[in-house]
Amino acid sequence: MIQSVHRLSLNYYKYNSLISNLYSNIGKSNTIYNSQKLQQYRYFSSSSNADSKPFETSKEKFLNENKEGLKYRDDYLENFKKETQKKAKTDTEYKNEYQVRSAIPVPEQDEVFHRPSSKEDLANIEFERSRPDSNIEEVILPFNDSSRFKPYSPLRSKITSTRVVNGVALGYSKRKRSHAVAYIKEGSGELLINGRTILDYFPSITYKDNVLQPLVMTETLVKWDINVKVSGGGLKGQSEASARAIAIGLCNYDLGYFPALKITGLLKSDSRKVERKKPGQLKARKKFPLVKR
Amino acid sequence: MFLNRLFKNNISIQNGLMKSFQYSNSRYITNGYLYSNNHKHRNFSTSTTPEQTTTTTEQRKKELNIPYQFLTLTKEQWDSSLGKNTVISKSLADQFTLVNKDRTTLLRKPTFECIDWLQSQKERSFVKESPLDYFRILDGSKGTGKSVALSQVVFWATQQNWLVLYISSANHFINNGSLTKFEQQPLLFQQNDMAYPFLNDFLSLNQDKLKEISLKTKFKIKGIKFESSPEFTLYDLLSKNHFDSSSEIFYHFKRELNAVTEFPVLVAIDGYNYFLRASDYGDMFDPSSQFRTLPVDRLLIPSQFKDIKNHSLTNGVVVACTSDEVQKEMIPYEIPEKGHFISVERFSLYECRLFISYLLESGFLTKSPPQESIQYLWQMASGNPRELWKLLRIYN
Repeated sequence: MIQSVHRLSLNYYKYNSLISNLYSNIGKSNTIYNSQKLQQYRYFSSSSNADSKPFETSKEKFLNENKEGLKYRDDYLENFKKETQKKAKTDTEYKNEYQVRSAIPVPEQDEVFHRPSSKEDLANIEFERSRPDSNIEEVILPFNDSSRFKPYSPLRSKITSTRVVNGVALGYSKRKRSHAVAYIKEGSGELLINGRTILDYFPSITYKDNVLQPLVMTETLVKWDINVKVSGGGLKGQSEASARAIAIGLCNYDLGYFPALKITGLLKSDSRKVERKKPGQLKARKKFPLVKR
Repeated sequence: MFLNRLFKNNISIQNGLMKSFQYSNSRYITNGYLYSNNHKHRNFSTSTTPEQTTTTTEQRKKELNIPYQFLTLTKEQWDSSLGKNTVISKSLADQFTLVNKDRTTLLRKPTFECIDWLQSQKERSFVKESPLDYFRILDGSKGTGKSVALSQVVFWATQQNWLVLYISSANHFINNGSLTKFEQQPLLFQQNDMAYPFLNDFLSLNQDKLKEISLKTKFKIKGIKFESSPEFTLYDLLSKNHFDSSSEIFYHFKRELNAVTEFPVLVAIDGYNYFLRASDYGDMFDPSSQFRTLPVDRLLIPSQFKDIKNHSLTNGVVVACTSDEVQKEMIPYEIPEKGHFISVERFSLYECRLFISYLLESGFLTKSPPQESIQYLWQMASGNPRELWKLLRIYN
């Protein structure tokens, strides 16, 4: 079971660095041997030359150091090349370093290494780059990220964009049996319901207050000219329907009013209706009186 | 705009208007200039920014230096200028009693508009060239202050030395007392219960003016044994007031009033609707008739005040206002021209603020409400002054 791909792959590289240190010199046994011989030889030669003078150029220094050790021309050339011309490792040389491995599988033969990288791997790599110390979660939650619950994703509102046509925004809502449409535009605080003021339309204070609630919460009592058209139902239903219509109209005009209206609960739709009458009963819940004998 | 027009053209008239309001003991809250074009209080669209809730004394003083003013009268001044038995609506009476013993009212645009018209008619010496020169009607929705404006106009006219006949409620004027037979013309009925106290009040108010007015018509009243002659004055006629012949005196008094030239005459009627519908009475001689069928034309005294279109006041004019106690359906049929009407609109937010500031000064309101709650009250009452007063009573 592959728990987490990127973590294994990273570990693999860590191991690989260790392995390269261990097994790098196995194939180069001959070279080490030669180098030890050279050092012994140089030791004896250096003791003979007691009076040594500082050399000006690097070439003279090099010749004096390897005066006696470099008997053959080929050795001299090889050393010269090593000093002067430092080549980068070729691919073949780089691969030859790993050919020694036997106990641990070669990366070419490893399934994990050759696994094609998916979107999840890239996502994990980016995730770790952004937050390097957050791998603890993966141990605790051994899931893929696709199936994980995301608590930080914000809830989206139903109203996502404003709709204003010729400076007029519209809101529609229902309550009980009544339907209301509110037309809102900037003005000086006129409020009409079916062409009448709220003083004429609603007799009691509570109905008037219901209509004005969204304007009170947004502190825009004098800002708008509102024209509401209501039909159906009674006075309470009409007042509450028109209140929500005004609230939605305000959100359609400017989404800045949304949070205040959302918190106060004026955008809630109340879907309650009159419960139906049942057969065998007097009303929706009321039963016939029980008669003994 | 009306006020701007006044300010540009007729400054002298305007100062004269306001000087005329000055009374011996009447006081004004504001002083200084009256109108100016620099005021921007009516632009509510710019008031989106939250305003300061706390009002210092300096701010309040600034707010009160404004074109609008309050007219304050004591009870005695009211009685001496307008009359003792004037009928006031219940909410206005509550306001007068609860807030302060003095009777204060806000001077608004329609009063100045009406006074300007009266002043212009007086300058023209009441020459009537068009139907618009006969009368004006203050019209508006319920509780906007039509009768208050009319009372202010009447007070202005009394201070301006006009002869004013103020009918404070037409309902009380028409449907009052029992009917009696009028022998000179059997189709008409006379109302002595109404006419007797009305003439007494009028005489007590205008005692000095009536002594200067001589009689100009020929008539004879049998009950009090009175014959008219140019030696007599109107005071002599009304001082011989008697209950049984009071409505007959009233009839001749109205005919004399048409012929007055010594003073400018104003007839002010509150609730002109009642003249255009049937009275509460039935025909006395027709047993099959029911109540509320007898028209106002059949009543002797009110029938003389009905035709305000072609009234025969030579040196006078009529100002009326409607009332919402009864329906106003017949008015557009009777008076189709819009030039006669002076609209009394609802309170603006600024006037609402003024009203509340007055209540604070008088001590009726203990705390000064913040601007948001003033806006809320204004919106709840939808700018209606009467409704706003009811809400403020609850608020306090």
